[in-house]
Amino acid sequence: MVDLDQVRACLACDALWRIPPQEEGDRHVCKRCGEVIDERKGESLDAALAANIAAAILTLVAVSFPFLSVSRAGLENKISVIDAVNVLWLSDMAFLSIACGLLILLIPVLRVCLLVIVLIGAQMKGRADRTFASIYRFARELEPWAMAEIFLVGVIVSLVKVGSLADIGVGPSFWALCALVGMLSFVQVTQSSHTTWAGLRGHL
Amino acid sequence: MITASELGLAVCRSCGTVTEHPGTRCEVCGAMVHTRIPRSLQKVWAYWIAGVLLYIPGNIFPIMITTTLGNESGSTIIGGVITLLHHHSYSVAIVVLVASVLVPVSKFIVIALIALSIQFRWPINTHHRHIAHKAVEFIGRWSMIDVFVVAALAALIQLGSVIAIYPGEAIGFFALSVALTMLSAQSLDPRLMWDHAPEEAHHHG
Repeated sequence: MVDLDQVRACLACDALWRIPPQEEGDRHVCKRCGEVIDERKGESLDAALAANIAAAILTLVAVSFPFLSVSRAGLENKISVIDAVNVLWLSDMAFLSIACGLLILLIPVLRVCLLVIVLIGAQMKGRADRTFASIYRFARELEPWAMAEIFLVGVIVSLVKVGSLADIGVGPSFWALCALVGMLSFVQVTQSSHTTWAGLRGHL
Repeated sequence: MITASELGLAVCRSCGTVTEHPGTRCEVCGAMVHTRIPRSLQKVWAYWIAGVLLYIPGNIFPIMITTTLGNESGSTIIGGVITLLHHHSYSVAIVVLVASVLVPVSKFIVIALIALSIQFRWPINTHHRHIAHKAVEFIGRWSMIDVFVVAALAALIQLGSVIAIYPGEAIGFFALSVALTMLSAQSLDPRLMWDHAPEEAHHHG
């Protein structure tokens, strides 16, 4: 019989390996397909929590302040993500309003808030609670659908696209989005989900 | 080398916990744990077909309509790229072209090739398929750029009769096509590629 605590299976190719408990800095790659099976970095969940709180604040700034402003013939207009979702809804562009409301407002905000909750939960060692693990699973499922960084590139393209038609400028939210993208990349480089799962299992 | 399924075990795709009871919920995170994603290829094809079909109207109809002093002009995705080229905004034209045309089309081809190679056991190098699948999952969401461009402009540029921008009919088709293709790539269980991979395909390095 296999001792389930001693083996890990590769998520990509299903190969089963006997892997000793991992420590900070360890990285275990599947010998069959090359996929990372376990990678421990940023064993301090405090640092992960701090980074995610910062990301949460930046996300809130990014969605509530104007990202673009436009002026032409004496008329001026500036707009935040929340305004945009609202304006699109009121102007009978319901589909775009809902798509943006979900992909660049609701899901990014929800995801980062859930991550903060999970990391607080993971700190309560010895209390491996399935609720926090379920929340973390959900937050990770949301990840591909949180499109704040894609929206940032969209804003840059917009600037160029209508630059000749009207005078377009960026607002504070644009810089918050830039900082957010930097912060998310920082989290990506310094933290690993394997560490968070270990914390949630009470193995840290 | 032995696989989890050969021993009757299954690994949770969410948290990596190995269980002796496939078909039940993971005791750590509560996800359903299966030996392989149930009906994986069926889901892949269903999303794939819907995504390809919606991509066609997404490119034929205008994605953005501009009204300047009473003149209304619609532009398709490709039309927008050509306009950008006329304005000598080459880098942005390339970004839009890659995100809206190159990425979706290559995604359709890659997903179809991987799914067919699994179904018909085509001898395509499994490492290459594995990398292609990861690339498709990573890059697919970036196709939403043009949707956000139109949304930002439609919400912002409402300066009465001077100039106004509206989304065209294509926007819904295009956005849904991108979302469905993302679901198609997600439904593909990479373990199926490795199930019939020849043993000499071992990874070195």
